[in-house]
Amino acid sequence: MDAIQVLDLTYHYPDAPKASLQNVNCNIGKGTFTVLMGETGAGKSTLLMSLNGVIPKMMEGTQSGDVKLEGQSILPYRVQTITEYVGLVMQDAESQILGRTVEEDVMFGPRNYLVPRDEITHRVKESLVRVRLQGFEKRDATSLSGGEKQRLTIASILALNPQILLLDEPTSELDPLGREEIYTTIDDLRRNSDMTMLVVEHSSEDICEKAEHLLILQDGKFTWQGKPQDFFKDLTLVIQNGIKPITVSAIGWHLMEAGLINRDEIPLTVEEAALLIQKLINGRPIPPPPAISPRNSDTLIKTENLSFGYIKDNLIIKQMNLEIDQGDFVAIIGQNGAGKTTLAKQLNGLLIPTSGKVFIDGQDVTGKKPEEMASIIGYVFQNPDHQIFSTTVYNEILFGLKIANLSQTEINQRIEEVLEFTNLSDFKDTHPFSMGKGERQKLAVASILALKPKILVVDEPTTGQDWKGIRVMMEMMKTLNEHGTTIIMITHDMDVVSRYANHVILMNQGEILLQGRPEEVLAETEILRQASVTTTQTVRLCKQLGLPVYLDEKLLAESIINVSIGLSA
Amino acid sequence: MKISRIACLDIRLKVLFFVTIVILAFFFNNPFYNFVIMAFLIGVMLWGQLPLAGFWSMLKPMLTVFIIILLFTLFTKPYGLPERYSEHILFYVLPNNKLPATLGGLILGINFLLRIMLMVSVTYIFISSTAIDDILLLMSKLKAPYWLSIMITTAISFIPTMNHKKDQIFQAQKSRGATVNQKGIFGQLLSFVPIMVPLITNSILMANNLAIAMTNRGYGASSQMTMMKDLNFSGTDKVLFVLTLLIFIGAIILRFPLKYGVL
Repeated sequence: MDAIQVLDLTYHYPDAPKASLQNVNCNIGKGTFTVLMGETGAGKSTLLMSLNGVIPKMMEGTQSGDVKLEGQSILPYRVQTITEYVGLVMQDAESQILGRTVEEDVMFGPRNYLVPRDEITHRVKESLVRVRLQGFEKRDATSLSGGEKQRLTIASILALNPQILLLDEPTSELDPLGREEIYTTIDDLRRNSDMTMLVVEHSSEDICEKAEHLLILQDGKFTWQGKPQDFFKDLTLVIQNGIKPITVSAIGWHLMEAGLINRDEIPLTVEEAALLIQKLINGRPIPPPPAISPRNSDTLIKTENLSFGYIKDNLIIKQMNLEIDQGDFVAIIGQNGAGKTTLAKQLNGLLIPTSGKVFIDGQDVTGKKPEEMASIIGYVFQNPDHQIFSTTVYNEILFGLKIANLSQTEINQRIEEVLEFTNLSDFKDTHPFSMGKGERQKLAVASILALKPKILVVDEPTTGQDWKGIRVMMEMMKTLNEHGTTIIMITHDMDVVSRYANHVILMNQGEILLQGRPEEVLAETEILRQASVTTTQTVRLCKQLGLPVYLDEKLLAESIINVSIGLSA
Repeated sequence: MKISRIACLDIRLKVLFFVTIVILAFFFNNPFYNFVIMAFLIGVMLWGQLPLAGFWSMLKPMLTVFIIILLFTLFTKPYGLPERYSEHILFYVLPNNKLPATLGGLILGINFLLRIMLMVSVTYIFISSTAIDDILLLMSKLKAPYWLSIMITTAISFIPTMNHKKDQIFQAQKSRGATVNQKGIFGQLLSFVPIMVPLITNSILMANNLAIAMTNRGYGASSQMTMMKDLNFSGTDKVLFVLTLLIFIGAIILRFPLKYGVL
């Protein structure tokens, strides 16, 4: 029997223009691992919340259709009755931690069900082992890292012994190491229990190998269901659904279009791709990718022996000497806690260095206040909702310009320009909170761009965004960069690094471990591993085949095709 | 952190001790007696292995207030003290016998200070040695509703989260050029709008999320929760309980029938 059956489910949030789920149907087999993918706003979280009754019981919208767990409709039951069988881990880990210590948090669930004390102690121990947090019992929950917090939220749900586990983007805020930890945890759970799992995920490469079943949701409707391998081998289908393709499969697709391989041969992993390409090129050398123009050499930002620490003996940034050139597109990479954001915040005065100096355009700006720096360095934070406070898009952008004391004509002109640039002109008089998250992100960027900063710092611009959102955001950065703005971006997304950056800085424990052109840095897989960073599939493929390092998978595919055709001719 | 000797004691004992000291603080108007109680509390802190540095840091910000109180009482005519104190003039501040400082005023001021210090000390002893769980446990023993305890714990565990949010919002707005140092009261109030609005909207979103998260973990499944600890009264607790009671009764006898400690 199916663990979950969704029958003609429709759900309409109050005041929403259209239903978030529209006649959705699916069956999820008992003990299976299913992945749910789709663009932001497709209805993924809504669907998960419908499976444990939070929707419609705790929301005011209207629902029709039915959800059955092992053949039984959940509609007559209270949410608290369902949650004992269906565990839901939501997106934002921080707001789900309900205890001061790790142990206290895990206890919260079973205590509500009046589980006897000894049994609770046992369950706490067991669930923490399952997410590999044993020994963390007495730790203060606020002292945990992002990945640990995320695992704690999973443990707290596991302590309820649910038969079905729903995970909503469990890795979205994590660095590659944190992601790996979560996926090892999920793998362990699968091996050691017959729990049914449904996971929402944006990253194609992480899940393709693992999931048995894939559901694609678009605009509140299922557009595809089946085996993930079948889906990812079809590039047109993947792109149509707004899902990020698997890089090596995209290379395979180009090879197939060139008539070199069959559709079935399209690889899904780097290893499969390496074997396939080895056969195709048969020892023939692949030419290196076209040379890229060198960096500009006018130094714009320079730090001299920059150090920073909240506590004297514990430096987060250690004696850093850094140079960033005018017009650079810099990517700062490294694991969580490496000091990336701390470094960036020294540049615009959000944090004052413990020692050392910061120069911009040759001028010493050490110790200047962020408000004085606002017209030179713009800083785009990850969460747009931390800064939006006005009732219209226009007023939101106006705020910074008013402080800058510009003339009314200048203000109006700049707002028009920036609305045009960010494609928000139609939203000028809209209330920011009635727009989608993607639009709010653009608005946050727009309000900073209006100040025309020479330098733009973007802190994790791609976190929690879908593929389309990432591309829109990055294309915007690219255009800005082409118009002369120096961009400094902090990111975990190596595909973005390889596609957009011209200079990469790898940080580890407050120091620069490596820096250089992306193809140089991303090729140093050993050093990257030391800093818990993984490289892109394209680079891994090139390294595995012993080819010159390509960053663009399309160029690599073309070179392979050229060599292979030359070979057969 | 080292667990202090007092932390291991039963909360009921600590509540009794707290109440006793608060009452005793108002028993005597002879500063010497209050001074003895103060010395006793310092002794309790030392015996209980509570760091005196923590006590000092609580006291430090009050020092200015102490001086102001002392100056104020020194020059006011004290009531409720015998004339030999209230009329005893120590010195005059202004010429022509204007603005006298009296002995009674000095005694009144010192008593005030000692009473404040007694309250601060006993509060310090109580809070620095009592885990929130014990308070919750006591609440449930007293049949306080279960949601009240949950409200307290969640509120406490959300303080660091909210603080973090506040910092993020501050930084985001400062990076856009916002300052909180604008001119005039109105300007200052206005400059907080960009901080307060996101803080409030974020809090509402978080509260909503929290409600769902709590439901996901079965909150409300029954009208109670499993208690993870019992209150238990050990031998030491019993001895100290009796001792505290004896101190209390002793003080009552001293103060009322014997009329000690009253000027």
